[in-house]
Amino acid sequence: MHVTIEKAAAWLGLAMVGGFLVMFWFIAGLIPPMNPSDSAQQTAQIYVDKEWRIRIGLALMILFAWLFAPFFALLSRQVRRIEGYWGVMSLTQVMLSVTFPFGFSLCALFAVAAAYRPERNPDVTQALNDMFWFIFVGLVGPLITQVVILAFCVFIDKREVPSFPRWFGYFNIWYAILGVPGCAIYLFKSGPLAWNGLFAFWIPLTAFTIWMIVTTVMLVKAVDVEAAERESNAAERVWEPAA
Amino acid sequence: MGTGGVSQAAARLAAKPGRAPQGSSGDRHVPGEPGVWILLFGDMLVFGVFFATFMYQRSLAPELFDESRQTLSIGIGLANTLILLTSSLFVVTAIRAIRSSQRLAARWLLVGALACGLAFVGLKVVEYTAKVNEGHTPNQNAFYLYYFILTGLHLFHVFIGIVVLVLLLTQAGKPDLSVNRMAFVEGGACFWHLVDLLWIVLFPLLYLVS
Repeated sequence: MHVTIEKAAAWLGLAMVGGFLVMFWFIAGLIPPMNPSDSAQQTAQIYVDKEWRIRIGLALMILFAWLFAPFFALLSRQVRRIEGYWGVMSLTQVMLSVTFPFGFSLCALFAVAAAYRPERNPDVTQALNDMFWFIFVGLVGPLITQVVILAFCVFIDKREVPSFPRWFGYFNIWYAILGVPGCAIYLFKSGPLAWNGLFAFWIPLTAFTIWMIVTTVMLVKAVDVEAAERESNAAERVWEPAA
Repeated sequence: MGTGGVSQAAARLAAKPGRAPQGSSGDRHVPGEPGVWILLFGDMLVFGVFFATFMYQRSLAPELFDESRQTLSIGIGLANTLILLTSSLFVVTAIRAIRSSQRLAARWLLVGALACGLAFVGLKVVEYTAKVNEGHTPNQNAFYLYYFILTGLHLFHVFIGIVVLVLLLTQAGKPDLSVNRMAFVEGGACFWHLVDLLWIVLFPLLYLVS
């Protein structure tokens, strides 16, 4: 039962990535991103044209973003297993995991606010729209920190059957490096580091999707490792010390 | 999806395999461990996309890019190229020293590589300051936008590389490195070579090719 629930948590995280792409891309039409150098009138016009698409797509995200939580709970638990007790690494994972659903639902709240009264003063719509992109694309710190901690955990796992293969650690560093350029969107209104740019949006989005797929598979395997360890520990009557 | 995976993992646990040994003797030795090449090739792939984007943008405005290119400080760029090549040489000899247990030599060689890395950063700061004082900013035109972004992303890699070199320095003092640690050290060295390699491509692309 434990195994089934934990694996379901992993797959739910992956399903939510699919859900995110459907909600933001196909329903709301916010991907591909609009141009940050658009005037206030142009931006407001997009919200007039896509008013209901944006309101429906993002209302779904505000509701469902929280389904990412079990995925990150599982991730934090696996870090806790490697660390051996509730130490700094696993607690940091838990704290930053809390922020992850906010990244999606908080940004969506701003875009929904923009689309709620699109007939208002365009300057206000533009400011709300800026806030949406600033949070959606630019707020990369929490996830990058989680990924770096995860990579570190993979490298220090000295158990006979480690939870994750070592290449997964390097893979996480790769993702962390690619995720960072998103933080530069506040400095650019055009070019590859603007919020619609190749380096700040498209490559990090691709890398995020790949990371979620790979991490889901790795977590499912880690659950198997844990279950096997629990079975062999039970057979040898070794009990995990409470922490 | 439940039990099959568990029994597989149980079989692994029963067999209690150690970590796979790195390249048994007679095989050709791959530096580091296989996993590190996911990071290295992955990064190269993305930089390949960056370079291709730059080439595409240049093809849209070849005259502008060529004029702007001539305002770059080729001297500093060339000096930085030589500095990074020297640092790579330091790292190669340091790894060789670690393998033959010459701890002190390895540490000094890594300090040399670190000094080169810091010199690169210092020259970059001088170069950026000079460019901004001459009125060249990312907002000026497409060339300078890409110049600052591409060299900035590379500089970000140099910073990570410096952290990696410091990690190598802490390992170089240890009396005996396990297989895993040695693989980690080699992987770190490969990352520094990657930083060097990316600059070797970036330097002609930005400063020389007309």
